[in-house]
Amino acid sequence: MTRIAYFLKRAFLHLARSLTVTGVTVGTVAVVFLLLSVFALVGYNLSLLADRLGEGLRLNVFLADDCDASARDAIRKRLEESSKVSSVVYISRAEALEKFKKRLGARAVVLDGLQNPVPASLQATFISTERNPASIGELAQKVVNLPGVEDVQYGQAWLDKFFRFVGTSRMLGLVIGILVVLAAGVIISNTIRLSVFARREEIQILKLVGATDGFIKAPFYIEGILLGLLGAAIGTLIAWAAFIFLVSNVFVSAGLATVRMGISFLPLPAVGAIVLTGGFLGALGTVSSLWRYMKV
Amino acid sequence: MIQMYHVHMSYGQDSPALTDVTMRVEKAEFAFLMGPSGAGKTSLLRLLFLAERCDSGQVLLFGKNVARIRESEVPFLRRRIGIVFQDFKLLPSRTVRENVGMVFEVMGKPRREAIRKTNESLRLVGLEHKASSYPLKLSGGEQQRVAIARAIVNDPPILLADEPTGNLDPDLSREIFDLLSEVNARGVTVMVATHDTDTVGRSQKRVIQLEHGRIVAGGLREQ
Repeated sequence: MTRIAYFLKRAFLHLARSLTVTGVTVGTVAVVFLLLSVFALVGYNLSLLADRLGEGLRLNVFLADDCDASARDAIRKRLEESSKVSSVVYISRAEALEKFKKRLGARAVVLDGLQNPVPASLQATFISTERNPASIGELAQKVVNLPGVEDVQYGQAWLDKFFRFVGTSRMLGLVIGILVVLAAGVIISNTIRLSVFARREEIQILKLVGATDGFIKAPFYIEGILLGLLGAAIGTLIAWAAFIFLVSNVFVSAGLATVRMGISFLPLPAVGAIVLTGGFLGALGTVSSLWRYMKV
Repeated sequence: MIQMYHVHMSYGQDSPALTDVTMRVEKAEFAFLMGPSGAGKTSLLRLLFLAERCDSGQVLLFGKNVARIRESEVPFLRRRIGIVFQDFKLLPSRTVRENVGMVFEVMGKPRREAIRKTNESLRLVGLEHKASSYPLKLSGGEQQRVAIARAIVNDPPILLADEPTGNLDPDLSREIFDLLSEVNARGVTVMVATHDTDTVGRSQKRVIQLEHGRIVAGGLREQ
């Protein structure tokens, strides 16, 4: 315990002694993590939106008027066979008409005296991971030509495009995120390298009086981890502050108050993961610079 | 205490730094290592504090062959050897007391013991009153005394000094040699590399003579 306290003390002393380098490093890492947080934030909210839109996604298989019970059962069986489907509900013509009337409200009178115009249908709901146009479309293709099927419907073309956009954004975000994280690692690694270089004489003397490699390296690791954690925490904090400012001022004054309802900041575990990534990168950067500069 | 048998050592492709070196220094003995620049004095000392490894032969410290010990054992062996250099090797950003006490930080010794031993060591070299000063505020002779205080603070059985008076004028040199003799009188085996012939001549101590990497005189006591 006293050892850890000693290492912490040394690390803090070193950081405090080279305040400018420490400040520049933390600042740069913070900018990198601000970028990362913004990407994560956009990606997260796109995913939230996709989920919300996905919840309403169902496959409606409209049945022809001449579809008999056996044909209907065959279609139902085909739907239920799919591992993507969580449930299948049959809506008879009468039930569909009732729903339709409800939706029309007072205007339902237009239907009076008419023959029931709405078809019966089988409505398939999907498990959460499969609520996307691609999965649903695939199943739709399988049932559309079955006897007794008049038509299939599952969302609009724009939804398909939106989901494709979310998919591309996720990929792009991942690639940029990895690059940004690598950049942070290199920045921290360079700072530690500077720190090792500035203290090469001290390292040499410590080795001569019998310090183990672990004893010499420990404060550098702590420094690296602290730089990473601090930079990441500040970057995420700025992202959060900017987010709060945007939703409470800009969106509201622009009359986009409704937008506010749907979007939210990254959940706490994600923020924690981002900050810990900073610490992890700090340790990684330290490994790479000590590995090359410790030979004394 | 210190033994070398048929030790050969070279730096890469260059001509050998040490050739067939055999020597023995007994416990509590004081030996000078003499020779012109480039004779191999520093190389020999570097072998002893394990900054270098020999190509062949045996190096025995405290009766143990250290020529092939594992890298992880080196720090623990160095804690039993005090080392003094020509350029003092003090940390300018730490006070005299911190420079000397650093040895105990490295060893993880309790603070109380570290303070007591540090003060004791500084008293021995006559610098207790400068404990809070920074090395660069001290004269060269004082800085070297701090380095000696650091080298002996944890009572190592062996003290090695590489040209400890190289940067000092004759009066101060004598002072440093007297101090090293005093350390030796306490039972520490002392080995000093130097080309200060005046001091060596006056001291009447044993001299091991090196030339072109070979011991030409004084390697074994019987000689």
